[in-house]
Amino acid sequence: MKNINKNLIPLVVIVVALAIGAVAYSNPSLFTKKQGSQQDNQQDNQNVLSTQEAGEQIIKYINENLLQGQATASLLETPIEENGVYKINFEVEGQKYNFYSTKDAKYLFPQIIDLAKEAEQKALETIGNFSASKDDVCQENGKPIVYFFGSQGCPHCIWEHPLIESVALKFKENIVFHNNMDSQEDMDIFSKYSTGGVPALVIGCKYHRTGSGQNLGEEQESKVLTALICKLTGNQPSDICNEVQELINQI
Amino acid sequence: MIKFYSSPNCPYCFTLKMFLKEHGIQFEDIDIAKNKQAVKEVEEKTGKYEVPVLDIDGQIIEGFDREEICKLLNIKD
Repeated sequence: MKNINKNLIPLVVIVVALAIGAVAYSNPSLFTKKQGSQQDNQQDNQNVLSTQEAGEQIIKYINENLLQGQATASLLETPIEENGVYKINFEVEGQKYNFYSTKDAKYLFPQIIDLAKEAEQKALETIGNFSASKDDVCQENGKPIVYFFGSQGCPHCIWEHPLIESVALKFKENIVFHNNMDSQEDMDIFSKYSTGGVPALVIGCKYHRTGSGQNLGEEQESKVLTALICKLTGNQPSDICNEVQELINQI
Repeated sequence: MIKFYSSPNCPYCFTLKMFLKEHGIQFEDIDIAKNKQAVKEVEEKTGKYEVPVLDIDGQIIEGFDREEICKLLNIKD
């Protein structure tokens, strides 16, 4: 049953997406309504279902038309109204899903793009595929801390490691470097800023990235690391930071 | 099919590997330190250069995203 379940996940999504197209196609009147007529507004209001009714209709549709006895979908809770549509939480064989539907349960949306979240995420991206945080700069002895997390067995870590070591050396008077190669140190920082993968770089708790910068190339990656550190040291040492001023301005 | 891309002696990979074993999840253990093709596969699948990476029936999880892994593998953690 577990195999069916796994294969079913994309199947449900795809079939539902196709079904939406089919519903829209078979009901052209939905697209040709005159705008703003009183009669249409009254009809729309009559078609509005309660959250429970809409949820039950959707589940019935999924069970009868999509799953067809291979598995059973069931509501996890009474659907809720969110941003003018109904949010329907259901499960199939222990897997949880969130779909959305119109209030008349005629349209079902298996996937939602959260534009606000996307915009927020975009705003937090900075140079070199680093993410920026709103956290305070983490310091040791009054200097920003730069963390590296990696493992000797990991080729991407081996690529990144000499670059960050070399850049950190240029700032030896301005930062504290925590060089965590195959180490269990600073796991609180690692857990907070990494996805759990290595290599991971955390620069003063303000900028962080999981994965190496191999796509940038060694030269550009070194410049990116330098610029991010300069941002935290107040452009010190100035001779080092002046060389990457253009990048610093993009942060 | 679950593919687990990792590298030896990587404490971060080890934690995830133990988590999968504890929950009885069977997986193909791929050592990217020895397998250049695997390195390419990870890069193509994620666009990133990191380990560990899990491929669960084509769905890619970078790092140890416990919540997502539990959801996809139906683990009650």
